[in-house]
Amino acid sequence: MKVLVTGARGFLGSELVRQLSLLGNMDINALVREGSDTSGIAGLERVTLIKGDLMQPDTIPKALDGVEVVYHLAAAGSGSHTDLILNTVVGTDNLLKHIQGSSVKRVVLVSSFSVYGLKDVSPGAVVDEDTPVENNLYLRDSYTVSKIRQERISISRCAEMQVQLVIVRPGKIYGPATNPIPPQLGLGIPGVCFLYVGGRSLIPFTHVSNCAEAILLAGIAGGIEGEIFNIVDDLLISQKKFLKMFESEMGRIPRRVWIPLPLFKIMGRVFELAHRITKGNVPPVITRYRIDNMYKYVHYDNSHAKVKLNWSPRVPMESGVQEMIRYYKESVGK
Amino acid sequence: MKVAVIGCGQIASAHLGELALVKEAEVVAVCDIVPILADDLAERFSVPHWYTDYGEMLDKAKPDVVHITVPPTLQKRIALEVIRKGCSVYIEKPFCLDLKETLEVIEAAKAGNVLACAGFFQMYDSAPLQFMRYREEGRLGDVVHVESYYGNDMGGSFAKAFLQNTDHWIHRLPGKLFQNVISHALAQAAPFFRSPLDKVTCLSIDRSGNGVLEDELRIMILSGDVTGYITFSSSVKPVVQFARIYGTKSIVELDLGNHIFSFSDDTKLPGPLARIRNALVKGKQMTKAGFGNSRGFITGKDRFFTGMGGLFSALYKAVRNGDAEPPIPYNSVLVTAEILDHISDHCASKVTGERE
Repeated sequence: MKVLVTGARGFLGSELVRQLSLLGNMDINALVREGSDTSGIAGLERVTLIKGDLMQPDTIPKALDGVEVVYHLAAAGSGSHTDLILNTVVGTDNLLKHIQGSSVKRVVLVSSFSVYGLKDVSPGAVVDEDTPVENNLYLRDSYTVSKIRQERISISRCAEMQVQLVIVRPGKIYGPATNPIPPQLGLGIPGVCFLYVGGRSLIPFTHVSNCAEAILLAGIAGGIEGEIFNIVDDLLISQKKFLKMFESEMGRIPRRVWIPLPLFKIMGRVFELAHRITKGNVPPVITRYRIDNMYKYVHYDNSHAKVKLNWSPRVPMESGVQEMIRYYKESVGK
Repeated sequence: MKVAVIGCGQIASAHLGELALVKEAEVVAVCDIVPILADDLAERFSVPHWYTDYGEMLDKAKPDVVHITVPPTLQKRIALEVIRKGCSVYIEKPFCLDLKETLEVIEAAKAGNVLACAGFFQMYDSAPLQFMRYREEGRLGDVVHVESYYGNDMGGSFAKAFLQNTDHWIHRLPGKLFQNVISHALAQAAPFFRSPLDKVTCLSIDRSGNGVLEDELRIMILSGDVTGYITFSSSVKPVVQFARIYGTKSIVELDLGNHIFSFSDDTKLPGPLARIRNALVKGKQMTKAGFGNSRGFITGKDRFFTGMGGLFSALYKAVRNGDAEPPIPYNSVLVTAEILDHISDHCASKVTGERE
């Protein structure tokens, strides 16, 4: 079988390409941008590097040639709202347009946990694939908007083309080479302080190897057409536990200030007012709505992926987090 | 005033954000060839309709004014079609690709009895507005010389996009990077010159060694008895933007990034006392600007795109009153286009020189 991996140069994409290559029974087209560093995936068994860009649609047909499964990981992680919409949503649309009439049978779309709207979820509730997707799009950040729009367009286009679509929604992907401090821990105010928010909430971590394996399985498992899978690891750790692990290796986060969640919500209210009064001069970085979505205490369920994909996270949570922190410590030392 | 927007890229978001604060504006539709961008912008700013064909949009939404926020290579063609439909236009900088196109659009607007306003919105920021009042009071005297400085930030995502992608539309502009961003600096100097200009000299280098585009530009201008310097730099830090206007009675400085208006005038006091007086006068001006900026920040009257909103209001007022000229006078647009032509010729001659 031949597969295509978009975003193959990324942190998750390169791990997926590596795992697909290790299977030994697949030919892998790895779509990478011209001029990007391909050292992590170049030379792997049965991997063909295809230079291209979803924003330059004429490069897409070559990447899709003979492909049956598309692992679509390419997306923008930062930039202006327009950059995110262009590179994530328009890029996806360009890809899907070329899938029409091609050999592709299944698209595995790698989305994000951020698409869930947790505002109306009760504290302590379980977040699973039935949790509603955010419907107040523009109360959320541009990244979330781009991922929700990406899902919407994929669902409608794949239905029109009668191509199987499987959506994978990973939590916070971590591993060596990532910034170890997740946004779920708190908010860094550059040059001022780091606000450590709450402490009780669970961080929806998934190790890059575990996540890549789940995505791989989503491309080959039978009977999962149209399904959605949340990917988080087992035995998730709380903010407090993560902070303890991090600081025992790295020392105290400079200018760390603890702020209880209810107080942070009051701060959010003040920011909302300031945003309105100053006609946008104070940016809406902290709002009660976003606070609920980022820091609410909820549980995360991964049983659907375990049952249907026959997946289980191989890298245990605590050792994976330790590995990430030590890697970071060494790279800072260098 | 019924308003529509053609082109739903990054700057269009700024337009919609400011339009939401302009009371007389009713945004009736947006349009982009990429449906996802049009749909997203319409949903984000609660615009009732979006289109992918601007002809259809003009027929159905029937706007009074159309904002054109497309890449410069498309500005003229779209502007002419919109004007033909009887709408006034607000055209984002640089307005058109060259002087010939600029003249074509202005002549079409005049013939169609509508207005074609250039998006030189910084002219409506607080410092240039204060300067206009200062000049009207006769405190500047005759203008002798103008300096305009533009600091360009090459660290952003937009710069990254065109430095990495040699197929980016920036590379297809005759004046390259300069043409896309120098209009604001030119617009500050343009009101003091008359088209056609007597002499324009350009000098440029690729100081950062990016190997793709030149990033430093100096221009000298002569127009009648007024001279001017334009400096464009991608290397100087901090990234600032200012204009200095030298008059026969005083020297004015407009700090465009920090929204500060200040001036140095003559005094009959003897040397030592003049030094004390001048320092105190400067201190007073800066204190006033500091309080003004604080008040503007808190009340929201001074925003990043305040000038844009101010220019929109001025344009809609001119359209309502049936004025013959838009708030950015046609002479300023023509002077800017003429200098851009010199920049384009300069860039072309450098490319030819490299080939040789």
